[in-house]
Amino acid sequence: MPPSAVYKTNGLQHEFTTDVPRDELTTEGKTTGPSEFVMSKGATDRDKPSEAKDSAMGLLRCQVTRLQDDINEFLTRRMQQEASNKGDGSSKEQEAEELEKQLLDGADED
Amino acid sequence: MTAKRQKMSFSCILDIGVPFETEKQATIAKRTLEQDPILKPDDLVVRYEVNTSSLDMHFEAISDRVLRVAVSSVLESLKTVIEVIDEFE
Repeated sequence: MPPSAVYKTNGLQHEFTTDVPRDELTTEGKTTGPSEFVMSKGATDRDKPSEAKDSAMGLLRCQVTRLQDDINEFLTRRMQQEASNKGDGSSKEQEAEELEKQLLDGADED
Repeated sequence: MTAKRQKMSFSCILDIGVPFETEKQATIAKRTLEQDPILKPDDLVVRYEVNTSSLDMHFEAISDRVLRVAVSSVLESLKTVIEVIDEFE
């Protein structure tokens, strides 16, 4: 059984699985590390994860990376929805992108 | 502040199960992760449990935002723990 997760809130339930072929998995997360914006400005990612070994723990690290990406993307979408429900609907995508950037590059609040 | 807390509830819940090869590995991960203090216990509850060789993590947060920050941070640490186990075993 690969790593999995279940999210629950006010009657809603969402399940996450990482039952994905090995060659589709990587240790490089889409939602972790410096944002594309920072990298495009010439930054070097000194915390870049090492490649996974060909071992059970190597596979587990890739699966956890996938799970982390899926959960991050799901929760970001929910935050985005909540923001657009509250606001007037204008430039919400921009705000969500800004929020994602803050989360990637380090927000101080949490 | 008290009024805010009364209004807020831990409405966002996430349960994660991570299967290790052995109970010892899962226990190492649990003991390592639980060293990190919860900085805002009013906003977030985190529990770790080992069931045979699985590390089960339970998160309860007052918002999706708090949940996202906490879960991503814990999973980031977990990846390091897994890498270290892989290197030393």
